[in-house]
Amino acid sequence: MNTMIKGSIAGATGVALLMGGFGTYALWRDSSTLPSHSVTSGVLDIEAGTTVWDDASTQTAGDWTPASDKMVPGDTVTRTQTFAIKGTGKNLKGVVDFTQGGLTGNTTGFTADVKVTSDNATVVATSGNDFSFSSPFNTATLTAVVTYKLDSSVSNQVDQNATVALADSTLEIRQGS
Amino acid sequence: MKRAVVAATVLGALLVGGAGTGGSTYARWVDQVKQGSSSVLSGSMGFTAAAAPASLSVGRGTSGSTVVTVTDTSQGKNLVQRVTPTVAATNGVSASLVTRSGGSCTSTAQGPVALTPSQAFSTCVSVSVPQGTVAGSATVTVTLNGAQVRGGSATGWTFGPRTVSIPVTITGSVPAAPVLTCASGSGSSTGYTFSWPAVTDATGYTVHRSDTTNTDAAFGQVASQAATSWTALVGGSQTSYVRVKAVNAAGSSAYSNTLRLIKTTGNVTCSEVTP
Repeated sequence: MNTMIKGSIAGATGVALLMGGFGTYALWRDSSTLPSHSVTSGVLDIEAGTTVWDDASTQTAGDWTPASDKMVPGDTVTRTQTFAIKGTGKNLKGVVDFTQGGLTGNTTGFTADVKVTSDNATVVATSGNDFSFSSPFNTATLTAVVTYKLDSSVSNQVDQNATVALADSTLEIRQGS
Repeated sequence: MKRAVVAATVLGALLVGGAGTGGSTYARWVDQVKQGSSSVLSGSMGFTAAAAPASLSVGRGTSGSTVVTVTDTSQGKNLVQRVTPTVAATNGVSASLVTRSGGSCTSTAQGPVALTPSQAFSTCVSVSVPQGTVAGSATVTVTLNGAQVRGGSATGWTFGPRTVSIPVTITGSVPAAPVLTCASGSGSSTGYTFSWPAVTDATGYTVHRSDTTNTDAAFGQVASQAATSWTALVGGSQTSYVRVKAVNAAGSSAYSNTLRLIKTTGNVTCSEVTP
């Protein structure tokens, strides 16, 4: 076979090898390793704590038993409950909304007021008993005090043998604004 | 084909979930807890009162007493009730309230008393019926008012007035008038001694004399005695009148009939005055 023919056959063979058939051809490839890693999420939580009843007429703490002790004109009784809140997360911000329950009881001189306070400077009061936080605060304690009063001006036998009730109130902690 | 399916799935995830992608449709953390319901009770204020004995029988010119006990029926942890008693009586009878101590009545006037629930106090009701009281009965009324006090001042609830009525039967009667007779006596040159029958229920007698006229205004009491005789000394040319009353705890009788005693010459003489 002369040299030209051999060269032509080789070239053709080479081109055939380079071009491949259908699905059988060579591609550039390369690879490297992405190391394993993890991320963590924060927390947004609220839990109810203990409740203490107190007779404001005395210096003794926790000295009111609501099931048996009875108020008379001039008495002030408080119900104090704490709520532990948690808020972590780099970009966390949010609000705590308080929705007060309704007061029932056909009375003249009874009042019931609720005041909620925060022990964390990041969880700040906004309006009423609501709060907001513009950054994560880790942990905080909200204290809700219900103050019952029977006014001393109640006369004759008004508001005797009465029951005054405050329905469930709600504390909601919510991410966002 | 596969590339198109994957692309659609990723786009769907971005629309449904994910966070911090802006816009208003994204998930947020929320937690909620309830401050449970609570209630308080109010108390009440009141008292009961009763007398023992519930009624009295008192003789004219004498006294009697009963005890009124007041019991607080209030409910309230910090309640103090001040109870103030007063007393009044009818038909000329007098009544007063004095404190009770150690089971006996004292001489101290009864004032207001501060009570806490279930406490009680007793007060003595002293009743006096004057001699000569005409009525046969009377009523003594003890009135009680309650007021809540706080820090020593009245404030808040009140209760009452409540009353305790004590009927009083007035006993005893005055004796009958003595009967004087000249026949039961004797005269001397200086006077006249006369006697009279003892009067039933009389404890004594008062002798009354006039040396002028036989008129009520002219008589004056000259003796108070238990004896049933008396001697009147009569001077010369003197006319005297004497009459007697019987007395007991209920009072005095009416006057007896009147004797006229005259001294002229000789012994003193006696005659009975015709009414």
